[in-house]
Amino acid sequence: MCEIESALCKNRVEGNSGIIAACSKKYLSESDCDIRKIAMLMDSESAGKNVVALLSGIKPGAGNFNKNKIKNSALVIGGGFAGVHCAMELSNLGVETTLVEKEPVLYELACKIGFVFPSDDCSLCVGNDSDDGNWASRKCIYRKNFNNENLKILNNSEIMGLDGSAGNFKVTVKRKKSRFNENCTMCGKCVEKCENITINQGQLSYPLTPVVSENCEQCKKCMDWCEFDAINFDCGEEIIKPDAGAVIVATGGDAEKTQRAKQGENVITQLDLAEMLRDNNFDNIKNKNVVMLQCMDLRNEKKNKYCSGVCCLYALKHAIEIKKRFPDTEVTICYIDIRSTGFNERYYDEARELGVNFVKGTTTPDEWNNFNKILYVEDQLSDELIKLKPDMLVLSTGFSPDEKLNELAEILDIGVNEHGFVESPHEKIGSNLTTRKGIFACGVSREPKDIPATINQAKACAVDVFKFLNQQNVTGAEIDLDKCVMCGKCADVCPRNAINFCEDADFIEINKIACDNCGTCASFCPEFAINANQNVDFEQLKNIDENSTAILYCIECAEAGLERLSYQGMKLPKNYYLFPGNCAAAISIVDILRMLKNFNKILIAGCPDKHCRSGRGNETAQERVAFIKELLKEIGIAGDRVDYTYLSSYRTEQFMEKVMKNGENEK
Amino acid sequence: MEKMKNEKMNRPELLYKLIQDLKKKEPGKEIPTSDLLIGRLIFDKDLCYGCAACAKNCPEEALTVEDVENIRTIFYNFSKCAFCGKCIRNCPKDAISKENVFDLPGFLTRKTGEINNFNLIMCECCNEVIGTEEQLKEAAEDMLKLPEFCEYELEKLCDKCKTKKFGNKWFLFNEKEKNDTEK
Repeated sequence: MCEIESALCKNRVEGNSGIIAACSKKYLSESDCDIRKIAMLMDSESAGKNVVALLSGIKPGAGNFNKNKIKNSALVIGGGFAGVHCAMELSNLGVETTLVEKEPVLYELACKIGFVFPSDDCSLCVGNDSDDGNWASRKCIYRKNFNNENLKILNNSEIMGLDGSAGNFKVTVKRKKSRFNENCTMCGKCVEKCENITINQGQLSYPLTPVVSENCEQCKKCMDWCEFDAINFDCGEEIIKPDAGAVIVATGGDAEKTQRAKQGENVITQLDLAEMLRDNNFDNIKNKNVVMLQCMDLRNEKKNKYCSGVCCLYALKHAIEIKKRFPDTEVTICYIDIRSTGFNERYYDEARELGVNFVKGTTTPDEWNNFNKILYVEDQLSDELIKLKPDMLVLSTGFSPDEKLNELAEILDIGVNEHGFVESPHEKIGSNLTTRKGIFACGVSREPKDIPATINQAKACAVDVFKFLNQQNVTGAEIDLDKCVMCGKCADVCPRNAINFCEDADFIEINKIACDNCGTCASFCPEFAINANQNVDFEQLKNIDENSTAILYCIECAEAGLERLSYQGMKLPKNYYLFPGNCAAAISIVDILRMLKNFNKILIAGCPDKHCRSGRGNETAQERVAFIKELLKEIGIAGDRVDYTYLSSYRTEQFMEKVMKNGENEK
Repeated sequence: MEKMKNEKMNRPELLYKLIQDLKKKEPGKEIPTSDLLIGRLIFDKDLCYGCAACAKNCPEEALTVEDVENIRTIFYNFSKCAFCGKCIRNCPKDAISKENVFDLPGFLTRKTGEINNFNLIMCECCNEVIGTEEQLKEAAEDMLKLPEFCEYELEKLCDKCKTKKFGNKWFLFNEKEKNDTEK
């Protein structure tokens, strides 16, 4: 056979080569193709050339093989403090940034708050960038140049899907077109005449645009009122597909939920109070009796077990503000603990000086409604039941994660922790990472925090993203192409879509940017052709006691768990051997069976649920262990010789239990 | 996780060897597996028309094809199968699917089972294999749907002989049709 013939036979190029595709489609099937190709070569030189040209010019899989290049772009989800600051930093660093916000305007929560601690200034000022040379100077969001050419803001938008892999995500964004186009001058004529149109938040919003409420009856009268042709009812939705090398989750906390917590008349939330103070609207507060209830739905066994970290401070901030303006107003704060940490202690001192009452003990607004507007609070310091008669009850509701965060986490395939916030693979050194490579998180979507901390994290996150987009020496799994048989199993099992495989073109390649180095592919490869940098040398372990136990653990969560246990003084028995691996999924069935020859017991320690860095490594390992247990039973070996346990620094109980059980059995 | 001592051995073979070494009794049951691990393959005999694309694509020689005289037989050896799913992807008739069951007794017997057999049609001129009866039947049906009747297609000749008889007209026709569909 000549070279071309063998090349033709080797490369099944039906899908790509037009002639052959046509032949195979119309005529019989693939089995005949080789014969046809050779026939063509023999009898027609031109046809042969044609095929060669086609072969050399193959663009397999629609030519999508430049995946390994990282796109210099990022997509920020959420236009709050975290999202805006992160997007601004990234666009200043030269990254093409898309900011997606589900509301018509950015900074929705910030607009409501008005003034903020610890600087006691307007919430809307943002840091200056280096153009002015003065980093510390403040600049209002309106005066700040938002028209950076790298920054694109998509308001009224939602994330619908995510394809691709780290470094080259394709995000599907659904955007509702705004009813007001760029001709709008904010003249306010439609706002005056129609109840359903408002200029958002007392004109504090970016971008400036009127907002239509859900009650709009579509009467289209506003179109006549408008002098500038700025209103069109033909809005509809559009689908935008921005590229993103990295995705940043900055969905923040749920402000809506605090609104829902309101029950009964004269019960407001701190957010409403902030709005009143911002608008100088004091009719309901002036010289009356205001009671603030702290820790609403927080630090509660039944609801949220965490502390929101900001409620004490904004309650103190508001109490001071009211007391300063109207000294005759009675302000009482019912608290569990006052947590004004760091320099913010001055707020507590100032509130004490101004005569704010503090009662250690709190209750719920239900009680107030039930007892005829009288609030009974048990003061834990004096053990007395205190009777309060508030005119206004203010609830300090803290942060809960955005209600759509769960949905978003499903789309992005990232982990969510027990409280519903975004999970980080490493709380200390990777607090703005998520369990998926290439997706970052900052701000309140990670954990409740105040505005300075949010802005700091957003900026740190921007640096992390920038580093990720500009990484140089990437390590990842490697395929030995001499051994590879092009079966495509690795591409099927890869949890990160990191393997580019084109069957028709005999092309396989690992995209190292997206590769997590978890070794799942290597553990499935039938020809052992993939080296996932797993470096355990079994050769050293030839002289092992027969009763010994091997613990195979992943170097992420499980290693942290082992460290934690060693600090706690746990000592493993002598015949326990530890084997670190990149991920629990890297341990194949064959590996386990092989180890069973040397070891009496094998324990695989992986991450807890939804905490796996490589997405489903722990699930894969558990599936394997379940399979092996059945297999061992069938061939007459006790199934409990192989076991799986989760292990992390804060969840060690199952591991301890299993190790203890093993130890007892041996005795 | 570990570098294999014997590099020639592939995963199914190693699995077989390890189970043989460890086993203390003969297994009698099949084992349920998960979607990810894949289990046994199932073949739909009625759909299959014997093109042997599965056998040609099988990287582990678990699926094989034999043409003896006028009969084509397709074999499946479960013990060699790496569950890669390549045959499933390549089957033009979608006749292969997976079942989440690991047939352990079948795996250990290492036997090759016959899946299907077909009558072959040979070239009238040179006695080369053209395809199976079912394949040609289907091709003839397709032929009737074409806009322009093509006499070459109904000749029971292999490609080489067709080229000899008709010159390169027959594949130029194909090219023409390809251009038409592209338009």
